[in-house]
This record gives sequence, C-alpha cells and structure tokens, in this order.
Amino acid sequence: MDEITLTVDGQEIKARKGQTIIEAAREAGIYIPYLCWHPTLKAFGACRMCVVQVERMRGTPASCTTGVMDGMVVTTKGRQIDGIRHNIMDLILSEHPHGCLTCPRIDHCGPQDTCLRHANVVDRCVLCPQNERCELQDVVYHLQMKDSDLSYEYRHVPLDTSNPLIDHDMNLCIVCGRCVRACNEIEAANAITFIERGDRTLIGTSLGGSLSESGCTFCGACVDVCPVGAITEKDNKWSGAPDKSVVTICPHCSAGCQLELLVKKGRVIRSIPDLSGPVNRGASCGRGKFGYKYIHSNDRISTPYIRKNGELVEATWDEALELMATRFSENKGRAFGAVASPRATNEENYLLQKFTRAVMGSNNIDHPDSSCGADAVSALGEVLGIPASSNSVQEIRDSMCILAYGTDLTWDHPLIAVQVKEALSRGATLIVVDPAETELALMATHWLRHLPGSGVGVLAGIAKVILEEGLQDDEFIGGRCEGMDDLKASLDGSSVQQLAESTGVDPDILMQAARAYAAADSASLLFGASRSVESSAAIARAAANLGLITGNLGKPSGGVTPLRSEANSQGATDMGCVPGMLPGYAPVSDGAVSFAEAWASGLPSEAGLGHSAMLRDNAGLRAMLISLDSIREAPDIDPSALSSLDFLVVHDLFFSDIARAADVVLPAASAAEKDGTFTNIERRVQKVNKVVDRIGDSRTVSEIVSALASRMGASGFDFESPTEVMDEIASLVPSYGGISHDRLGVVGLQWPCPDPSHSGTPILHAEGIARGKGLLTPFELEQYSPQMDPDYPIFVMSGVMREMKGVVELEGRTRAMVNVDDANTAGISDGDEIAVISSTGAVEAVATVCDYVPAGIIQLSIPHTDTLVQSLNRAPSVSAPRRGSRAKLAKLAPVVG
Amino acid sequence: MTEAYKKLKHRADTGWEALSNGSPIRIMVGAATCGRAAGGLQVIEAFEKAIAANGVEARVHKVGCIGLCYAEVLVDIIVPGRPRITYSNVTPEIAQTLVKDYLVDGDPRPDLAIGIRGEGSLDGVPSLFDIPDLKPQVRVAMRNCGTIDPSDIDQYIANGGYSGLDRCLSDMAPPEVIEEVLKSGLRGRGGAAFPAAMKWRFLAGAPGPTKYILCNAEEGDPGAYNDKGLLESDPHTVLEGMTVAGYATAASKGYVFIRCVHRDVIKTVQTAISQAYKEGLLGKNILGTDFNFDIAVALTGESYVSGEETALMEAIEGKRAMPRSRPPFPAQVGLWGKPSNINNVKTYAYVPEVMRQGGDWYANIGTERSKGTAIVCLTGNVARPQMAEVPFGLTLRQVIDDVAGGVSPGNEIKLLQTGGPLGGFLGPSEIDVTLDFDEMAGRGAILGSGGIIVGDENSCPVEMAAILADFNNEESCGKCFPCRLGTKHILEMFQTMTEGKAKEGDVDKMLAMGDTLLTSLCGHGQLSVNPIKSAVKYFESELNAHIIDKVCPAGRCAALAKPN
Repeated sequence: MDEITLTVDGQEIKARKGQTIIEAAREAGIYIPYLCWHPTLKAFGACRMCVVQVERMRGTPASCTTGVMDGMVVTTKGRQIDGIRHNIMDLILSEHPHGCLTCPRIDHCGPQDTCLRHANVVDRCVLCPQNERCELQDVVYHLQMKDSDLSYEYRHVPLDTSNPLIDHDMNLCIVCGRCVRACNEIEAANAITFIERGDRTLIGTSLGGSLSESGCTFCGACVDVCPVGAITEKDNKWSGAPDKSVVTICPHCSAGCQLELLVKKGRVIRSIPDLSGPVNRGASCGRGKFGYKYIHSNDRISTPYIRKNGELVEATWDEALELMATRFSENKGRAFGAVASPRATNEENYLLQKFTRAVMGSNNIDHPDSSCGADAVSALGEVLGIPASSNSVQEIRDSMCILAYGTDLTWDHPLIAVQVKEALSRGATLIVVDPAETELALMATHWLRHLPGSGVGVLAGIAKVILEEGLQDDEFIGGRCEGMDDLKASLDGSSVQQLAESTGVDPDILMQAARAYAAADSASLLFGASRSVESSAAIARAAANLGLITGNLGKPSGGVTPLRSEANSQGATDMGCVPGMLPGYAPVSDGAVSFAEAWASGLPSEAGLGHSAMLRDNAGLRAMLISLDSIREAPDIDPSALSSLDFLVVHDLFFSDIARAADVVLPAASAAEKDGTFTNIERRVQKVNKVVDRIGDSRTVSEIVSALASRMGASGFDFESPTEVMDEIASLVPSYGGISHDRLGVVGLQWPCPDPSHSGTPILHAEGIARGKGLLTPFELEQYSPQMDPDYPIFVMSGVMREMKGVVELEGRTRAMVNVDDANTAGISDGDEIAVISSTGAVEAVATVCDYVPAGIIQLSIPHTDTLVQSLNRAPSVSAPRRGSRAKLAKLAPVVG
Repeated sequence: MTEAYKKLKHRADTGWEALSNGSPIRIMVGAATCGRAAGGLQVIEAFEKAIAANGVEARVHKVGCIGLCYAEVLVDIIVPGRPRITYSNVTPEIAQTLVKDYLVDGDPRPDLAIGIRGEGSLDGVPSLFDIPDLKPQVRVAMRNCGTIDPSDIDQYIANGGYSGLDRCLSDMAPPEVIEEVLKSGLRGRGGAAFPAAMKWRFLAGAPGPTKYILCNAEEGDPGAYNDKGLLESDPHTVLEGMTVAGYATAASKGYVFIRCVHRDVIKTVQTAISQAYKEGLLGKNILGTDFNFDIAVALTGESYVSGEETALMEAIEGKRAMPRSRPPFPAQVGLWGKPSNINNVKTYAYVPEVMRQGGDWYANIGTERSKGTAIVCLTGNVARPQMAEVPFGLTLRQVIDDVAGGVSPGNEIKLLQTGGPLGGFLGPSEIDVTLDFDEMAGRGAILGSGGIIVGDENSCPVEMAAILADFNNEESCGKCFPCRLGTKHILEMFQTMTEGKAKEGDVDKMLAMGDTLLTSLCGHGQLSVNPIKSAVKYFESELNAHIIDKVCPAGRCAALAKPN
C-alpha cells in the first residue's frame, strides 16, 4: 500500500506516499511554521521557515520539499531549528515594518492610539489591512519574536492603487513568491514575476507596466495566497477580520466553484475560493473573487412594485400576491407562461414548474441560457440517453486531447480553462474551433478558424477525415452505436476539401486536428454555442457523433461536455423547466402519470412553448411570471414583445427594461441569501448556503409560488424548508433519488444517484451507452447563411455582455473588436470612438482594431468595471445590437471643446 | 577505427602537414578575447596589408589563447625549414617589421621572439615550453589552445581530435567508457569536484529515451576565464567530451550553456557545432555508427546564479534562473523534467584525451586524490597574469612564483582569493598549500573554477571581503530568504567596517549570520559566509584594527586612518 508511517516529534503519524513532511504533519495536526509554502501551490523551498531535522539526513532539510519515507523520524522543533527560524525571521523583519509585531503591548493597542514606543505609522500592524489575518503575524507570534539588532530598512516603494480591484503595497512584501507561483500554476497568466535580484528582489509585473497590460485576468489568486498585506483586495480592504464565513457555490457560471464568503456586520466583505471545491480546488476567477458586490448593491430591488395608473409604485407583498393570485387565476392553461432563472436553485425551479404545471395547467415553462441551451442537452439525451455532460471537469487535465468548440473558455468558464491549460502543460493536444482569436486559440495546437455559422461543417469535416483514413473505433461503433449508415450518408455529398472550403478552414489543419483527436487515448470534447448562430442541438448531435465514432464515451478524461453557461442551467433542465419535459426528463406526453399522482393534479400533456416562442405576438399568452435573478445578463427578451401580455410579473434583483415593462415587480433574493442546491456542468448537485440575511423585502421563487398556491387554493406547496423540497424531488426524479441536503456534504453528489447508498456517477456510459446504443445521426450541414444586407454589412458575434480580458483596460468602456480590414473600410483607427448601429439601435464603443475577429465580424465587450466593480452587468439596453444581428460601424465625430 | 574517422583523419593530417611545413607560410595570430583586447585584429590587418604590399605568399590564421595573456598579441610564424617561432606583444608596427625582416629579408628577428616549437633552433631563443611560464605546465585540456585555429575542425582532428570518440564508438560499450573515465579519476571542475564517472553512471542508470548532457559555461567568477578561454580556443575538445558523455549515458541531446554577452565564444562554439554536424560527428549515425547525438547552444542572461546547475536548467527552460530544491537531483529530474548530467566546460575538455590516451595515462598526472591537471587563471598583483594548466601537486606558491612571475620585487604575497567570490581567501600561512582539491578544502579554500587572484602587501583583506560580499549580495537570485537577506546584512556590516562605523561584536554577528546562510537553497547562500570566515581566520588583527582602532593597516579604506 501507499500508506507510510513516520514519527514526528515522537508521535507516530500516517501519511501517503508522495506527500511531503509538512503535508503529512499538517494532516496530523502538527504545526510547522511556513511562509512560502501554500497548500494550493507546488513546494518552493524558499523561506526555510519549515526546516526540520530528520534522522539520518544531513543538515536541516525544508519539510516542504522533503518527501515522507516509511520509518522516517522527524523533529520539528528544538534549539537548533528554533534558532534558524528566529534568525530567518529576524532577517524578514529587517525589511518588513514590524513596530507592532515585536511589541509587548500589542494586545492593548488600538488603531487610533498614540504609540508609546514611537513606532512609525508605516511600521504599525494596526494600520495594515491584513492585521489579524496576516500569516507573518501568526508566525512571529508563534516564534515569540523580540526586537533584533539587525538594521531595519523600509523600502519606500510607492503604493500601486491604479486598478479598481487589487492594491499593491510592496513595502510589506516578504518575497515569498506565492503570488508569482499562483499566477503561473493556478491561472497560467504569468502576469506577475520576480523582478530585480539580490536584496532588491521584489514582485512586479511581467512587462513592467500595469497588471492588465501584463495579462492579468484579475482572478485574485495572488491576493488569496499573499501571506502579508502586500497584495490585497481594494474592496473592504480595511474591514479587518470577518464575523463569520460561509462556504457556498459561485453563482457566476456553470462550473460550480466553491467560495468561502466572509461576512462582517451582515455584509459580504470578501470571497475566497475554497480548497475543498472539487472543481476549483482553491482557485477562482475574477467573477468568483470580486463579483459579490451585487449582493449589497444600492440598486437592488428591495420591495414589491405594482403598476398603478401606468406607474410602478411600491407595494406590500400582500398586495402583490393578492393581485397575482387573482390575475393568474383568470389566465390558467395555455394563456400562462413562466420563465425560470438558470441561476435559481433546483428547489425554486422545481416549485416554479410544479406551480406552472399543476396549478396553472400549463407546460409553458422554460429557462434561458445564453450559450448552450436546453436544446443542446436534450439532443444529447436523445442520442446518448442522458441529457448532460458525460464526464467530470477534473478529468480534463488528464485528457490527451481537448477539442474546444465555440467557446471563449478562459472567460466563459475560467476554471475549466485552467484544467485545459493544465492538460496542455502535461503534453495534451488542444484543438480550438472558433472564429475568434480567443486565448485558447492562441494556445492551441490546431486552431480551426471557421466562418460563423459553419461550425457543424467543421465537426463533419473532422468526422469525414477520421472515417476516410480509417481512424474510427470500429469495435466501439459496432458494439455500442447505431445509425452509422445515416451518419456516413450525410457526409457522402462532400469531400474533406469541400467541407474545409465551405467552412473557411485550412484543409491541412482540419486533417491534422482530426488525426490528433482520433489518435488520442482519451479526447475530451467541450462545446459551447455562445457565438454560434446555428442550432445548438445540431452542434450537440455532431459533437456526440465525434465522441462515439472515436470511442471516447464512457472513459475517463474523454466524453462530450455541453458548456452550459449559468450556475444552475443544468439543474433548471433537470427540474423540468423546459416546455416538453417534467423533472428528470420525463416527457410531458406520456410520463405525467406518476407526477400527476404525486402532485394530486391533472397535468397538461401537450408540450408548451419555449421562452422565445412564448413571447411571440401570436403565442396566445396573456399572463407571465418571469424570474430572472439577473446578476449577469438578461435573456434575449425584447420588452416590446411583452406588450401583448395582459399581466406580466418580473421577479429580479435589479430593474431592467423587462422589469420596467411589468405589471408587478418582485424583489428576488440573491444566491447569497438562500439555501438550496445548484447542479453544475458535470451534474454535481452542490449545496448553496445562506450567507447573509435577505436584502430588503426580497423573497425566493419558492416562497412566492408557495404563497400564490395557497392563495389560489392549491395544495402541495407547503414546505418547511428547501430540504423538504429536495426530498420531494428525490422521490420523483430517479437520478436524484439518493440526493438529500444532508448527504451533499462538502463535495456534493453527481447524478445519477439513484438511492441513498449511491455515491454518485462521475462518468456516464461507463457500463455501456445509457440509451442502449449511441445514436449516430446525420450531420446537419444545412448551414446558417446570414442574410446579406448592404446597409448592415457587419456580423455581431457576441452581444454586449462580454468583456475581453487582457484587451480591455479597467477603465469602464465598452469596446468593439474590429477587424483591421473593416476598420480601414469604415475609416476607423484603433482607439476611435465609434457607434455600432443595427436596425434596432446603436451602442457607443471604443474601437480596438485587431485580428481577434475575422473581417466582417465584430465583437462587443463590456469591461470589468461594469461587470464587477459596479453591480455586475445587469440587463443591457435593448436597443443595443445583439448576438447574431447585423450592424454597421460609424466613426463618431470628436467632441469639440 | 571507423572508416569515417579514417577518412577525416587522412584529410586533416594532409592539411596539418602543409601547415607545419609552412607551405605556404603561416602566420598564426592570437585572436581570442585576450588577444583581441591587446589589438589582435589590428595585428591581423597589419599582417595582411604587409604581405600584400610585399608580395609574400602567406596565410594568416586566427588561433586561440595559449594562456600567456600578458604577452598578447602572440604571433606564431611558420616558414619552411624553420621552427615555429612565437613572438610576443606584437603590435601592427612589429607585424610590418616581421613581414619585411623575416618573410622578405629572411631575418627571423630572435630579439622579438619568446620561444620556438618544432624542429630547428633559433639563436638564444628557448623552446617555447621551456620558458618559465610554461615549463611547469602540463597541457591536457589546453593541449591545442593557441596552437590550432578553432574555426578549423581539421586542425583539431589532425592533433588527435575525435579519435577518443572514435575509440568509444568502435571499440567500447557505454559502461566501458564510464569505466575508463572512472579509472582516470577525473573529478568535476565546476567546484564540487565530484567524480565525473559517478555522475555519468547516475545518468546512465536513469530511464530514457530523452536524457540531456549539459555543459556549464556560465562562468561568472570574477578572475576566472578558463571556460571561455577553452571554448574559444578549442571548442571541439568540449564538444567531443560531451558527445562521449552522451554515448556513455545513452543521452540524446547536449546543451552548451553560455552567457549571452560572450558573443565571440558563442559564435566559435556554433561554428564548431555546425562543422561537427557537417563531418558526421554530431547528429544521426555519428561516424557511421548507430549512435545519435545533438548539441545546441543555450544562452542565458547575465546572472551569476544561473551557473548553479538547477538554476541553469530553469534558465534553459526560459524561466528566471533560480535554483530548484534538491532532491530530486538532475540525474532523475533535470532539464524539462528529464534526467540530465551537468559538467563544467573543463571537465568535458579532458575527456577526449582520457579516451585517446587511456584512464591510466591521465591518472599518472597529479596527486593521489586529485588526478590530472588544474586550469587556473592567475590575476591580481602578479607579474604575468595568465591562464595556465598545471599538474595537481604543485604548491600555490610555485604556481604563482614560477608560472605567473610572483608579486612585484620586494613585495610579498598577502592573500589569495580562490574559487570565486564565494571562496573567501587564503592568508600568507596557506600559500604553500598543495594544489589539490582535498588539501585546499582542508584549509578552507576551494579551487572552484580555478580563478586565483593574488593580493600583495598593499591589499586590504577587509576591503577585499567587502567587495566579495557586495558581489554575493548583488548576485543572489533572491529566491531563498537567508541568501537574499543574509548576504545584504553581511555586506552592510563589511561596509560599516570599511567606513569606520563598526562595533565590537559585529564579527560574531556576521559569523552567526553564516549559520543562517547555511540553510540557503543553494551554494551561493551557503558559501556567502566565506569572506568573513577567512578574514577572521587569517586577518583578525586587521579586522580589529578596522573595528576598534578605526585604522586600515593597508591604507586602502579611505574613511579610516592610515597606519603610522
């Protein structure tokens, strides 16, 4: 076995092979002081604070770089070791302000007190943002340091407070290098580095300029690992130690990172990625790290509003609920529709669809997703049997080949991108299929830069090469698939050359990519649809085809993963917030019996409408409940389409154009204010925990529909807590059968988890394709061909929701990425103020003339400052050009005077 | 002998015979760094002009450095029927004179010559290797230095080059090669003096197929230039040594790691590498066998610590040159995570002769435990600063007095700085120590890279130590805490001494700091205490004069009183 026994300070402890002494000692509860070591980083061996003595080893090895061995005898303290630690700490304190650190009066001293020892202001811990959460402080106290007679030198480095998120005070730096390693090992951004040498060695930016200029992604990893106050969050910098902390799930994307939110006086003051998070393992992205300010934004809707005489006026919950009960009762059946939020909890979404179906008698229930919609997962369900990602995120780093389709992964799912980068560093091949020059495209082994709308063609091209060259897994196809003839037939009409030509991809690169994908022992296919204009279901089927013909399903580090965009997109689909399926993907047409019994209600058996269909003029809807929870972006809902409704209720965190068009506006509780569960991209059901009290008079969807049901005389909504809701879900949805809040623990459970003894399923199709046989389907090569409109010649690739890190300065301006050729045609230079004009409206932006986008395409982006520093990007102006629309560019005349 | 080598050797011998016979007349000008610094390129120009003007048929070759740096520009002239005559301190004017007097009028100008080589004699001019500098020397690694044109692979081959490799490839299995090197007793010349064969054995035992042979030419010690001297005077001996090491250890690729500013050295090595590829001595199927080996040059920025073996690997990988923690050792996890062997330039330079003449032959030179020769650079207050190759077993005084001409008349040797800034120095009592790895180590000095800086009675050990401490602090990579900060405080304390601000007890503080420095990650920090240690050991009274009396006995420290 790999278990090892060693003796540390006379105590026998167990360890695992490959662990270092410090790791083993920590697990056994033995403290060895350290400064440069950090549990999320590779050992560095620089501070020498963790030195120990080991029998039969020379000198005093560092416990962070010395591996454990069976029978090892380690001493972690004693005269010699203490002496070394004291001496090194003396050295550290000779250049770290330490007026307070070695002061015997420290316990009696407050920030405003006059220092009786005349310690300089800069030398005083009580004036350091890191006071009481400083690791150096801890070690100094542990060592009981006294003043030393080494000469002390303050560095007099100017403070850098130039960006809105992270402050640098390099006078406090102890040059442990944690930040540099975090930037390299966790984020692979390499934005910060050691500069200078000798005793002048310090931390600086890689290119000497600002953090953004050096490629900083503002993931905050450097902040989290800094043991002193050298690198800190600007927000709440001086808040001191928190009153409490709660671990919960990040609401910003579907990766499901665990964050520890620190709370002081009822407000979230800091977010620290949690080490135990199975996806993020102690890392986060900029949104997870800094994106909590929306919770306490002054712009939050804090009370219900009711439209009276054309104006929205404040109202009580009682008034709002009464009005809703009345109007909803008048509009039961197909006249009612509900839009669920992909950021609401499973429990909320379950109850909303239950309300819609059982109380309102309508299947008009759906949720929006800006990237991979429910269509894509449903399509996967049709061909594979389970409508979800086949594999788990943490397998990606061991994958030998990664095909990333239609995703700006480093922005869309930063922590999944980290896995890809890790795989790359382990020698994996990366294939990127994307028109835009994304960060991953620049790192890719093969970048297939196709024309927008031709993505299925690229995947078909890859399949064509694989089949022509006989690289497919015939055994897998023969034993576990059906439909091969149909698939082949769909490719008969076109040669590799033709497919390459029609998609604009270099045929050589297409062939190399196909060979690399087919040859890899394990190949992971990640697909998004955030810039696709074709059907995401067609992409999903094409992706499944590739995974199946190469035998990549059912194996570790293989698989097909739809990159759903929101924190609970997968859960919203699982919970039946789709027009055609009940919770657990039971079709409304035939699977309704058990639900009807359980809910004691007749259920409509005809599929309802999707969210965009519900809003068409002729959809026949008269009343709607739209729950948005829009911390990031509103769905593509045009408020003008809402005018045909008699009664619209919007439940949201912030006022948007949609809310302003509503008859009733309800304040939503954010993810930090409620309990429940999210299901992430890898089917992992994780516990969302209440962190702070409700802001204003906000309520969850569950509370609203329960109150409504009761007013409307319906039963089955009487739950004490979300825990009970999950119990009902478990009783009705087989794949959630073994899930309860109690069982979720730290790492959650990945469905299918059919019974309370089941430990979850990280990899699907391992025992054979869940559908029985994987269904190979024809590639849907009928391409989206954009309507050419000479007035609006430019294709808008993304809506206004995206910020392009590394390109956009932290200055709060919307930027348009314009191809050099288009810029020349429109007479635009880099940095010009321009207008992007579509038939519906216009947006002003600063032009970045670049190769990021091909000619004929622009990408609009909103910078960090809007998304993070202010209350995160809320619903954008509807008049702005949207994804997939066409626009023209105009240079704005400079403002004179 | 391989057929391929036979062919090469035949061609090379023919060329060398013509050169040695002076057909046509040969003029060989010292044009290594020291030669050029002394005006070697102008001398070449002067020769070329003069032979054209006088209608003499002669060929001018650039040769490397024979080691007599003080005597540059050195010029050898080979005229048919005459010995090869070496002239020293040649200027463009002397060049013109030599062409006219010797090549046109037939007067070899013995008054300008310092030595002769080959058959024949010249009035009153000794054999070159009988002059005081060269007489005590034994040339193994430096056998070709200053004798051959480093840009001509044939001149190297004609002098026995690549026959060692040929012997390995045609007659020996890799373990036999390692056995031969073990027999020779060859120890690493980078400082630690670890037996080369042992290191190779570690690498040979590591799993392949990708393994690296690294040559450390990042020679940062002030006062040491023998690695660069060897590389620019005889690059092929290093390349051949690396290739033999590659064969012995089943390695796939070698890197020569050179500081980017040494452009001429880099160029010389790159030229040599491309010639070796052209002649089938590198690349696929070396000398027609199934052995493949590649060598490339890797450049580093100007950082002293990048000469530390693991920092060097970081630098080749494109990272900041900071040492890694060991274990794992390079033989397990080295460059790009692959098993690697790293040796100094000089270590590889010996290998071809060890293979050609045998391990026993080499082991006959030197002392019991320090076999062979040492290549030293003698600088400071000596009459004849130079690079010399002397057998182990001489005393340091012999080397300084006999080879370098000693300190100025009436003066005495006061201190020696050996082994680079981390080596500290030796006091007058140790000047008779034998040149021997272990003898020297026993006296607290290291031979290290071979730099020997000689200080006469006018030197101040405190000032000297402060200079070393300054270097050690400046060149700390900044990674580990004790080195980054400890070297700073040691420097500060030395500065207070030279400024007359030191207090009693400072020396103890510095020595205590030394204990902390011992916990450093690499040798740079661990050895940074040597300047103060050696100052205490040999010059305690002078230290006390600085600290207590505020007097600098040598009169060097400006802020202090001069001795009465």
